[in-house]
Amino acid sequence: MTLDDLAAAVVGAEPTDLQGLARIHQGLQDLRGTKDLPDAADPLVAEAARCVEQIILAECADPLAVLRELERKVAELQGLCDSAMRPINTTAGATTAPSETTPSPAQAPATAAPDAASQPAARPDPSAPTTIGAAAGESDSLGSDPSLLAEFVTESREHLENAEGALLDLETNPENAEGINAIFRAFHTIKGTSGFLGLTRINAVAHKAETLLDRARKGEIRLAGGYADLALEATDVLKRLVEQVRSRLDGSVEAEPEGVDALLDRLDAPEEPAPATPAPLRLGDILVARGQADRRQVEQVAAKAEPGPIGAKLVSAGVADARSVAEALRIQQQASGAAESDATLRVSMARLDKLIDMVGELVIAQSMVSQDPLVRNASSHTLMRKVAQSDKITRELQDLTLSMRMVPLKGTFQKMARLVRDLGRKSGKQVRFVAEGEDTEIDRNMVDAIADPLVHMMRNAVDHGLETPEERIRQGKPPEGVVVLRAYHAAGKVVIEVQDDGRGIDPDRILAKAVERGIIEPGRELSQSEVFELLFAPGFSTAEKVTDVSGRGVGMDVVKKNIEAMRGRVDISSTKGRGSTFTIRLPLTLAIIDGMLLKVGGETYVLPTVNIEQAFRPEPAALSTVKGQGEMVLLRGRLVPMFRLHRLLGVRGACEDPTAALLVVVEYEGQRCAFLADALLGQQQVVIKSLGRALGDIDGVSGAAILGDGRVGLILDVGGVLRIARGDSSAGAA
Amino acid sequence: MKILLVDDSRTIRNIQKNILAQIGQTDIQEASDGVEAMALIAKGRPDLMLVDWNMPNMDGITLVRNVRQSDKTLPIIMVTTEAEKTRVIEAIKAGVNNYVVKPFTVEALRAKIEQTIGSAAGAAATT
Repeated sequence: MTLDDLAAAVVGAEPTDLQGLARIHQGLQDLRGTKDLPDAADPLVAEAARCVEQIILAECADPLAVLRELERKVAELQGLCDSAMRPINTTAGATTAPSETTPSPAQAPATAAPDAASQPAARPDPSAPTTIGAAAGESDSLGSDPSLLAEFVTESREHLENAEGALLDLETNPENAEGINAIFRAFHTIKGTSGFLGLTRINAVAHKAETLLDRARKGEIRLAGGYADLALEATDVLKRLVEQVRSRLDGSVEAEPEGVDALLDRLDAPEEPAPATPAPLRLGDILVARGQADRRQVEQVAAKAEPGPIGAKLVSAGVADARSVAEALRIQQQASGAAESDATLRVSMARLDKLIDMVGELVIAQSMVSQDPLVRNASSHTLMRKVAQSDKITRELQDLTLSMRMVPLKGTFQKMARLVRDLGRKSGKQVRFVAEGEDTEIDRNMVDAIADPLVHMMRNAVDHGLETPEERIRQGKPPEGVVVLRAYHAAGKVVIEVQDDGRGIDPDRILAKAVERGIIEPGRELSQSEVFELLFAPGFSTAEKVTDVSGRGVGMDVVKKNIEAMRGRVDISSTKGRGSTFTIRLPLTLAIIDGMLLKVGGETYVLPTVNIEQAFRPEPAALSTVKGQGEMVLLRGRLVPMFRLHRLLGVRGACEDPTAALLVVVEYEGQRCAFLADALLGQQQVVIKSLGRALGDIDGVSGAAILGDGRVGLILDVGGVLRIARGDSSAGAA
Repeated sequence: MKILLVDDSRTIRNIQKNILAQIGQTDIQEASDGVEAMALIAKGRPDLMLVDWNMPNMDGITLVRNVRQSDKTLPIIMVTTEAEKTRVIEAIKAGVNNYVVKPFTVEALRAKIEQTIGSAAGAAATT
């Protein structure tokens, strides 16, 4: 576009025709630096461009006035050009004007200053209200919509969790640009949404956090040390603010979380904490590490302040050949972890649960068909084949739907990483957290239930397990303690291990404590595993002092109870001075259990296998009745209470003679007892079906399952059966 | 009028839908990033596209540049924030017809849409 074209375009421009204006802006930019214009005209061009920007960005009260101003400036430019044909004389106006073409909004007032008097209306007023204020009325109506707010809460939680994960990842991998972008986006989205919803506090925090991240994104700062702490704190505060919105939705009024103002102040001046050191040059590092370049030469090239990518400079300086640079670039890119995301679809849990339920129904209906005598005894081969085929498909469908509810433990692990980091800082211990197998999947319904026990175990590991750095050095260990959180699948179970390399558990101290607390009588001989088992006894705590970190009154007994509620179990192994490992074993899913089928009279019951220790047929001599305690059976030298299932469950026609029947020994909450049943029919995986609302909660029964023959078997809840037993054990013994 | 909303935040999309509903626009398609938007446009051209700027996978400006390679007239409004306004000029040069600053009111969006549909229709008539 020549200057004359430009002048014509300006005359025909409309303030609302943004594309026309953008073309003028481009034309002005193209003009700069060309030979058509004398250098002295540059400031004038910049001013003209600034006029265009003001109109496009609506930064002026009267765009038409600015447009006329633009016309004048372009006319002036034309005049300059004409005079450039003659000997050059610089204009007085041009020298006073600043020379940026695209000043940022922050610079705008400075730009306006020199000639503000000549066109006051055309300049932006920095104190003018922004659109945030203008939208306030509208925000109120949107902000009171509970469904939008609920969605905001869900989405923000997700974003914050991602941001937290990325922040922790940056601790070990500080150059991960994709990670910084993810954190930026989290703050950015929350800022945008909260603005609409009128959530001013969230908006303020997110806005400032976004600014911080923007600086990291531009490479001005490195997201490490104090900056990383600040970003983590911002996610924390935002989380709490979002939870406040949540509780408001539930109708409860909660005070604003503490520390918001303090955080806002710190975000305003993030340089207060020690600024981070600049990042090392990575491409060069890779080349040196691979032996494809000499460090000194690389550093010489890097020291030259020429613009352009370092790779190209290294090649042109002959420090490394193009192929090695290309390879190094590829490695660099892989390291930056531009992970491809699988295409995913978000489905609500309720719908997925419904689907799993429906598939469960289908499995039952299918087994009813295939187990039907008419089908089973059918002579038609083709019918058998068809039934077998649909059996197979149904089973695959069931596996598939159940797997859809499986989610990786990653989110939980990230929370733990964060926890350990904070715990370490608080307790003054040096802790390295190692997560292994965070992609291990677990039923979504168990994710929340497992978080609390894990938090407790991590706390124990850091607070009780690990020693202080001084103590570690005294014992010849590295000052930095290691806490490993590991998950894997084994034998159809999810195994989660919390391992530390700390002082280990001292059996003598536990024994002493247990005696002191009256949990066991003095002088008892216990095996090591029995001693460790004492840790799970209610009211047991080995901490010598209650600290801020552990010892909040929730003991390991609660941990065990929570895990057992998921039909899982906890084991401890420990070597004094070397550390401890807590192992949690959980079923893959809550929807299926391994059950033992028990025959009691004419009924079949399912007893979860996790509860069962052993089954045996007693000798007559082993049976006894202890006064006031009911029937007992002698098992390996110990008396164990015995309960007749048919009496507890009200079943008629069952075997009354224990020596002709079977005793199933179960363990529940650290106590052992034996159930009398007629026979063991076998072991089977069963799909748990709820009894439905009509039957409600029946004590002793946790659900029902469809058995292989199509009949319904009730699943026994050991705790519930024991409650019944304790309620009328005297009647049973009479 | 068929409107395509492109924003990675479902909440923002719902808010925009909410606002659009208040000006009688209910034929809305949604995409959570540029890639999805391209796919939807390939299936059927919308009458208007509202594009967020900062998105994963394919950001707003790349989306606009891609769309403009084959479609010069599809009306596109950029949804931006006060802080991102410096990028508006770049966006318009890339082919955006108009922009609106978050958070916006019903009236502001209505005005922007009217301006844009008018100007895009005008541009189509002259080219």
